[in-house]
Amino acid sequence: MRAHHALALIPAAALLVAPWIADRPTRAFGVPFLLAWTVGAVLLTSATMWFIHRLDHARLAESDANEGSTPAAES
Amino acid sequence: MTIALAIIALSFVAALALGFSAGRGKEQTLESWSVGGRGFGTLFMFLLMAGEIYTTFTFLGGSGWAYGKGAPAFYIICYGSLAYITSYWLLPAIWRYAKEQKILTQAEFLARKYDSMALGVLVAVVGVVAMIPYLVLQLKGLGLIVSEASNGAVSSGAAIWAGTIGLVAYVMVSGIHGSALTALVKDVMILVVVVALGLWLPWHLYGGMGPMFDAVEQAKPGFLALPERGLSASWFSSTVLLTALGLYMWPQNFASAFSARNADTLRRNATFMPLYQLVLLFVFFIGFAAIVAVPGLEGGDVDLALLRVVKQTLPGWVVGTVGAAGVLTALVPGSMILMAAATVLADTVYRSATGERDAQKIARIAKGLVPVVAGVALWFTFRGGSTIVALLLMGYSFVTQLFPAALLSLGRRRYSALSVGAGICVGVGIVSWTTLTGATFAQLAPTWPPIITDVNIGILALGGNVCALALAEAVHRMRA
Repeated sequence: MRAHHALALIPAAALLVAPWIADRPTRAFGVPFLLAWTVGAVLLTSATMWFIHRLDHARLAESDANEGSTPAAES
Repeated sequence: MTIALAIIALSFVAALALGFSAGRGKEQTLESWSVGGRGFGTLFMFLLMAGEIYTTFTFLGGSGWAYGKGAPAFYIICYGSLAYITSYWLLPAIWRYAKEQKILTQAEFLARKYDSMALGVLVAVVGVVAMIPYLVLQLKGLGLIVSEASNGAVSSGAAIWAGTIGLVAYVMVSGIHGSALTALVKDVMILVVVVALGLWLPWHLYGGMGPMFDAVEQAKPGFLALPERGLSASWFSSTVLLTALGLYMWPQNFASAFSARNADTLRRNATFMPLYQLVLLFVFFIGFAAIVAVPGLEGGDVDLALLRVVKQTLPGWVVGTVGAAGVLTALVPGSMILMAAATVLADTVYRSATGERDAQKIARIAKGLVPVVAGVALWFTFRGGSTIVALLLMGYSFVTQLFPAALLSLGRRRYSALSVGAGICVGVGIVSWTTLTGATFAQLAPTWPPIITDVNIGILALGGNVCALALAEAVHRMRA
């Protein structure tokens, strides 16, 4: 685990606390606020994981190459 | 024959043909049949995982929950996303060890990690007991879709038989290659159908998203907020957490990681699988649209909400396309479950019971078990009655009990097989007890505030599991 992996805690928290802070009678983008929040949290998840992967990529590509990933035919 | 039925039949035949052709020219070792020779790149891994995680439950159950329960349904979007975050670290670690050790199943993975065949058999049994009701659910969904789309011209029973026979044949011939290719067709169809319906229905029936939610709020006041008691915020968070931990503990999902070509494929998957989760948004729109359009569905019938609203508002060819997409969402996960169950029974249970070492014979037995597992699922589908619902509820909680064992197996510190086995037994025992008696925290401690009593009872089982594990490990270390 690297320090930047802690970033993943942000979307995880956004998903878990959703019902406590986003359950309001208002609407956002025409849909209930809670639903809009969960969609936002999902987008944030994807963006965060993409960012973490980007930071990891160079280091991991090297270690994965040593695992002998044979170029098997894609079925 | 109606046009709807013709479209469903045609897609079914096309999917089977595709499934059969996928296996041609592939060497049929157990490794190739069950995990695609560990050669799937990013695209195929995505299709495979999306193919098995988005099932008839997503399609019919997701819209049914929005229709019948309202805001609590949103938990479904959250838990998948949380599971994908954990998969970024979990799956590459699992994949690496499985590749080194040439492992094909979750049971074998844990058996090897803890150096105990007995633990492997325990994990295999827990997994198969959880998978059978899941398979039954897919078959029932398939029957429901076909009979509903054909206005009863084809009975649910006949559709289930036809679907199962086709499924067994292509799984035996093509294995996972068939599932991955069929999943491609399924994903495209479901995406088009769900997004189109989810956008069109609110506009057609209500004149827009805002007016639709106004109409829902008027018909069912408070429906778009979480209730104070029952499916409250406590329930929501605890259920998201529990089901997220359980998602990759399903044997077929766990094993799908083995099909990846390399670890980075799995990490990449973790970055865009959450986006796919947004399909559920449109599934919910369909469910909400049905509230005012086709009112009055109760109990198990809420799962019909999607099909009913489509039938009422759209022409036959659309009903057929929706039905065909639905049938495929039953077949793809069904094939993965069949394969995972047959592989674990042959590769772990049979091999440890008989000491058989001939790989070709194990492969033959795994394929031979496919119709047997399907037969058991058929029996439950037609005879199980309401017990199957209890079994299904138990299934998800059962596989969640494997999480501590799987997680600890990836760390540096070694735990004894006896300790994790004790944890699994205690967890599974508590799940069985709470499911069969219908116990909840609200019953066990009626005077406590709902913020505590609404917590998903599964937490109790997982807590008992971890306590038993820690206790057994402490005793084990004192003796050692």
